[in-house]
Amino acid sequence: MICLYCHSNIQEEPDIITLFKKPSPLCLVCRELLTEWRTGLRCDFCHRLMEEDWHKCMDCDFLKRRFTPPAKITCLLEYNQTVKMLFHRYKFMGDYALSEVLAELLDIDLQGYDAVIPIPLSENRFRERGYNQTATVLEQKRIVYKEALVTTDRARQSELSKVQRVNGENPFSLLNGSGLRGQRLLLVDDIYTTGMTVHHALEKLYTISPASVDVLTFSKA
Amino acid sequence: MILERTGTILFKNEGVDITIPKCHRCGNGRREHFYTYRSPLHERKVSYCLKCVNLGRADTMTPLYCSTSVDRCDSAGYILDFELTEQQAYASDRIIGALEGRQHLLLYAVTGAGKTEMTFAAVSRARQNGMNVAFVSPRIDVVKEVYIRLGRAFSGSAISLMYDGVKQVRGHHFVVCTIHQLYNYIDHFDFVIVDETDAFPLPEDPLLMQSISRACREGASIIYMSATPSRKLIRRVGKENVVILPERYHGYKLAIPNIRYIDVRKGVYRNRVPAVCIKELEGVLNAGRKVMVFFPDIALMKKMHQLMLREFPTIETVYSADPDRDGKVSRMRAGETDILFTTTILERGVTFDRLDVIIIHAERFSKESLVQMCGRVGRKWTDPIGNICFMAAYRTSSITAAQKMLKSFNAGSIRI
Repeated sequence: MICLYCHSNIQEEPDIITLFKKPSPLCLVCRELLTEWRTGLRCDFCHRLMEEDWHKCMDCDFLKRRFTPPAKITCLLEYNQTVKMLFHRYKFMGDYALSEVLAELLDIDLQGYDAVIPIPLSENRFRERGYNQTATVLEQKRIVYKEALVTTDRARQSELSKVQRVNGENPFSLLNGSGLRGQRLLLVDDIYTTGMTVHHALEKLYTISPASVDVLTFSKA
Repeated sequence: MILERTGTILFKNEGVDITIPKCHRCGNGRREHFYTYRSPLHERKVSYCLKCVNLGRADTMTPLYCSTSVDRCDSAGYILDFELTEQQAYASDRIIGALEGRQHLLLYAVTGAGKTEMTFAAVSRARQNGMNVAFVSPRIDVVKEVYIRLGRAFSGSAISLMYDGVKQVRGHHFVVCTIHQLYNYIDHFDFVIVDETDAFPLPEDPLLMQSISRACREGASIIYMSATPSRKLIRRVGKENVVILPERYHGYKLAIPNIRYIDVRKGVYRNRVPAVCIKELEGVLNAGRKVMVFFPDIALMKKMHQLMLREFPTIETVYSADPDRDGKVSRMRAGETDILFTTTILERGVTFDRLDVIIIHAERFSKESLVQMCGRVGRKWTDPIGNICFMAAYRTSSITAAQKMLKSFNAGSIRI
């Protein structure tokens, strides 16, 4: 077995637990580097690292004025140097194997949700990348999800400035919202930067009046 | 030829042949280094090579394109703002000899011998004859440093720099890059210089070693440079092709380490810093010098850092995944930091003024690492000697071998 992040051999001592456990796709060193969080004051809603003179999170405050926020945001990993590299390889270099790594680190209780909805990928982007980076992780984890949203083509979010992102139109539209009324939903995205993507998707989801919508992101930039 | 996406010649219909298995980009043939999944877009199984995914994925559905090598001459004039010592001039002549005789050569040179500068004359000669030249190293820090030095000397030449995510391509005739980047070249270079040949991961990875010869044309000359070459490498080039350079460029001897027997870890995990460590650091600071403290692992380094912050608030730590790694190194260079805790990432390729070195748990390092770390001190004209302290729990054969090696370098009696 090799570590899918650093490709070195994983040597685990065989004992009664590891013998019967599914082998991990991640070595201990990489696991530690990926799960490391920078210390500092964080927004208790979106987990953003806050500047010292802030009384409240500027991002959340700004978004609240325009959108209805989700009930809760869960964030898996900090966007540190190692995580950044992971997403670069996973999203832009076609290193599909890293979805196993993210699935391994994905630790969430789905008991409280009726449906899991990943952020969709536009047709063009899908053709370019070959897979939906968010849904793939859910598949690896064997989580059943529902494709309730579709998106039209737009520029890469990572290439836009904050102002451009804010002024952009809502790129999402509902595909089939029927059956989601009154249900507890979990919206899943890969990277939460300013929160625009997630809030645009939320805006559409709220139109079918679900009971609640929580957000899960793999990483918080 | 050069493998590149914009190439016009079809090299292989598929980048990976999974039945053998073999990756046509990097030559990887180990089954566990391929990953297979069912592509939702193509609705079939796709396999790709994990080894070279960072260079652009090679897989079972995309063709690999290449372009042919073009040779171009360059006047390649260079400026050297000092005169080569007798030893350096001798080595420089030997390198030119190897280049013309189309032979391989190993420069077995002490740390701080001025290896890079010895190659300038040969590089210039090769470029004037239209040969393709590559200066490679397994270490990113070394690649960056060499690029700066070559850029300064060969200011009229177009030099390409490639490592990890950085690609400043200005033709493929004069390239400074990490060894991984050589996967994209086949039968292209006539003159390759490999710096820090024994650095991780080169000795452990036969594929990387192979990639050097694959990137070379027939009759190419490869110059290996190292202060701690392995027996295997010496055997590879042949004893008659080894040039030993026991003298540092400034002519002073290497510093010999003092050994103190102490188990640092034991104290640290009881939240106590050994008094010897504090005394050593105080001694260094009182003398107005700087110190690099090497640790065998990150956990111990961080723990020790926490414990010592009270006495020495200016300590900085650096390790491979540190986002501010470059910043910390340049602050050390600028003299803003006086104590730097580090792992083995800074054992090579860095030069600081007025530096001393302390190695914690020296018994856990290899001979090669110890020699390299000792080589960090006394690299400047202004401060040719420094102090080294090994803190070891017990003596190992590596420590003994490292001491012996330093002493025989000083006596000029190093043998292979």
